[in-house]
Amino acid sequence: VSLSRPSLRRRILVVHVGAALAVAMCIIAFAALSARMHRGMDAARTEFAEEQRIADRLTRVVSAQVMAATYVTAWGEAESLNRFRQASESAFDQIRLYLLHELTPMQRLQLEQVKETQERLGVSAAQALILARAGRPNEASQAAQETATHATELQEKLDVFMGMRQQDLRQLTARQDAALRTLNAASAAIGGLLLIAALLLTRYLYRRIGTPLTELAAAASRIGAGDLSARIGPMAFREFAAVGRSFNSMTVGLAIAEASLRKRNTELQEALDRVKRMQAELVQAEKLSALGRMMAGLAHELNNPLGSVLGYAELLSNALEERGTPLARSIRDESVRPLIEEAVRARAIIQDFLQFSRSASPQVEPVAVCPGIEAARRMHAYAFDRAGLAIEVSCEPELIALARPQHLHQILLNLISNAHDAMLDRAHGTLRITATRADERVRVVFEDDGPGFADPDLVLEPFFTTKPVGAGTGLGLSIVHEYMKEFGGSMRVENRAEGGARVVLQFQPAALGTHPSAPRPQPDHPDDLSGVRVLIVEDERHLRNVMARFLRQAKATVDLAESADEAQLILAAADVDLVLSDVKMPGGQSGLDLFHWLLRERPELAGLFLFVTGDTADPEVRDLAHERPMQFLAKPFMRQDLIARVVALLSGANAR
Amino acid sequence: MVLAAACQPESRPSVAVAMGASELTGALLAMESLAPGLPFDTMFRFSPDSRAAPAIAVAQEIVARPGMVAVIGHANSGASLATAPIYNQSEIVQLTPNATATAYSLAGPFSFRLAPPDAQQARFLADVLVARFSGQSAALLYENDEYGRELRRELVKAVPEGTIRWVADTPHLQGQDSVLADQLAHAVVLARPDVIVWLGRELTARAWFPRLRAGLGPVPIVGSDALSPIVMNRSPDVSIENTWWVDLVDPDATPALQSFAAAFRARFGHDPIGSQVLTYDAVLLIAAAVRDGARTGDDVRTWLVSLGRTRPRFQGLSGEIAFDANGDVARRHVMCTFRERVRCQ
Repeated sequence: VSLSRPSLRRRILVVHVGAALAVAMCIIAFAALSARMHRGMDAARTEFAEEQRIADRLTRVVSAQVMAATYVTAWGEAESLNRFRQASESAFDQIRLYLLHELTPMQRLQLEQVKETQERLGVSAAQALILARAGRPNEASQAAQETATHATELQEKLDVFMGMRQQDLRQLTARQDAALRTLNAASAAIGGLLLIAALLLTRYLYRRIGTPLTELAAAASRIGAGDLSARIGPMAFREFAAVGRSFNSMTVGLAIAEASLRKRNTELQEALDRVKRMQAELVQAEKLSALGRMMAGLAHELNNPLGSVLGYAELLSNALEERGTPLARSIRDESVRPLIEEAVRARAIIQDFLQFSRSASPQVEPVAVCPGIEAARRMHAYAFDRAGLAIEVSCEPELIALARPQHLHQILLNLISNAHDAMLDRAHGTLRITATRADERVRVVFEDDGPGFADPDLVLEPFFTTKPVGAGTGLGLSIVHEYMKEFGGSMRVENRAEGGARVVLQFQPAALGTHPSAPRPQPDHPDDLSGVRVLIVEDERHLRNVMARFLRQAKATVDLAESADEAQLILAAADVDLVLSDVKMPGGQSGLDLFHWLLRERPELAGLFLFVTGDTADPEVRDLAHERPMQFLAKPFMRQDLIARVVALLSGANAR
Repeated sequence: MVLAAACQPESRPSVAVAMGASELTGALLAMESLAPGLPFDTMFRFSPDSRAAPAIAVAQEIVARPGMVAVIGHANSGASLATAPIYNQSEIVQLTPNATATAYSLAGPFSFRLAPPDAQQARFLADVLVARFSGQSAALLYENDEYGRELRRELVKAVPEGTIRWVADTPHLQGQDSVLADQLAHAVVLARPDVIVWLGRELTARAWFPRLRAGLGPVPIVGSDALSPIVMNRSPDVSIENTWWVDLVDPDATPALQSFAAAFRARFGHDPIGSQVLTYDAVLLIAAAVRDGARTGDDVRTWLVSLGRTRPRFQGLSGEIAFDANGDVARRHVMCTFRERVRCQ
């Protein structure tokens, strides 16, 4: 196809050669015309000059001949004859030269008449001389007069001829002027032709080159503006067609490259988003980690005195109750019970802090959802009744979700607690908990009749709370969110159209055939530890005393140790049934060291070792707690918590 | 157009003969010899005068004739010179049998002649005069025109100083009145020359010779070639005794010439002169050119120029003919006289 198109190079070459030939032909034609005119003018000038010389000489010699003829009889014979003949010969020569020139028939005839008159003049002059010499003066005079007549006639005929030639010369001059005008006209015509040729050539180049270049430039501009659909249409010339094809190929290549670049850019953007999210998560994790470490330390420091406060308050409450007087009851209800409640609330706060500070993600496991919901409901039933609120639970049977049982329990408690707090100002508020299977997921929805979320987009941020100062840490929903992500599930918070808040949890469903482990409900426990010997290892004196009094109230035998070393001595000497030990203790050994020592020295007591700690942030402690969850009791705790755990451990040991 | 041209009958070229009566006889004989195969149309014009006006009028009439390719003429140097530019302008070949003026060599590319220029005749005459009349007096009578003046000048130049004593140098003109002729002839007689040198035409000689014979008796007269027609018009009033003239052809030179002369004498009652033989040859030349395909004046010119070059010389009655670059021929002169018939040597 391209070969069928004309070649621009060839076309330009042809045009240039044609233009050059045209210009050359014009120049040659002009030069030829000019040269011809110049030759003609030169020839005319030369002829004019020569003729002028001949005419001058002819006039001169004829004048001399006439003069000689006039005085032919006056001068001496020899002199007159010589003069006359010289003049006559010269005149004859000039006439003959003149006759060789181009003359009109009239001029030639006139010149011939001049010649013939000159011949007659010569004869009559010779006659006059001859008659004078012969002594015949009268005839000589008559011949002389005839000679003069011929001379006059010669002069007149010559004048007529010269007049004719002058007329010719004037015509020659006119012809030369006309030739000059023709030359000028030819110059103008050639110049005009060259100008027209230049204009035509310019127009041709503009049409054949400028237009395609403009189209190329426009297409390039469109490409530059980002319009990669720009294409060059068919071009007339092979070269432009090749450029157009290359341009179109380039455009297609650019479009492909741009698409690839966009894809890569999208991928990069997505990667960047991921990196940003990861960075944000890392920052958040680091922030939370630092916060967690701080809170873990704080919780640890607070848990011990809080445990003492809670323990003593509970002891005091029990003592007041045992006193049985109205005053004692009044003191217990009005002073000690609020103290206990506030201590419990403080413990919950610290537990939240500790929970938040955890960064590990233990393995999830199949968990039965409905029992967990029921356990949580039961735990808050009293609080809801007191506030005039209700909890309605609708749980599809056999729902099993992937979660960690303890965290799931905490999530349920947290959301029920939030609903309770939100509905405190409402009369007859109801929390509706609905657990269903939807879209291959386990869905648990909490809907309350509270005021709803002030800003649903911010409630999942850590420390965001709308509760009054001191009423919440702002970590609850954030922790729930973190847990759900760890489970591989999701959490959505929103406000209900009819009012109130809605929290939707979606869990990954457990695989078929799995056996759930339900959150361990707080077992009912007997308050009688008779015959049981318990070693308490606690560096905090008040807490040690509180625990000892709780156990003794349950009729257990209690040994006390302030350190691990002291505990080892007691264990070596006495037959202890259960060890209750703090983790962090001043001195050389920690509770963990004591546990490991026990594993080596008294392995039968390994399952009867109960860690009582305010800090589970330590990785080793956390791992061990994950491994032996029933052997860890978080500070601060209430009396029934401690007794129940002790009973549970002892029951487990007995079962084995 | 080509078909129309091809269907048209081929036009015959035309050839004009513009001469005096004597030369026309030569042309007539030539055409009779060529008939009926004469390859051109003919146009005869009587033009005996040496004056320009009648000759130019005849020439203008000739060039106006369509198909004219050549003209044989005119009868003398003056008329030939006067008409040569007209024929050259019209690109018609002018072939003159007897123009001898030196200037004719420069007349143009279409101008040819069969007579050598005057300078050669003048040298021939000078040689004759010196050989026969050295140390004697001579009267020089010349036609005061192109022909006579040229000859006079060349002759005076050719005669060595002191060999001939010129006692008269008298011009004359054709048609001069008898009173003037008497006066001039009387002056010549008074000079008593030993020989008369006549550089003029035969017609003028008829007026002069009786006057000269009356005063000088049988004085030898040596004339130029223009005197040769005097043998054609012999009369008791004009004695041509002891009269010699230059001619261009010896009638006895070749058998062909002898036969031609015999036939000429039988038909016209007198001997042929050189100009008649050359006119005869001129007609044969142009006929040969036309037979060879010449259809324009330029064709004829080219054909004439090719003689002796790309073509053999033409075998004419007067001998081999070829032209030089000026259209002149090389030809020897002879001196002739009349003793019962023309005899040349």
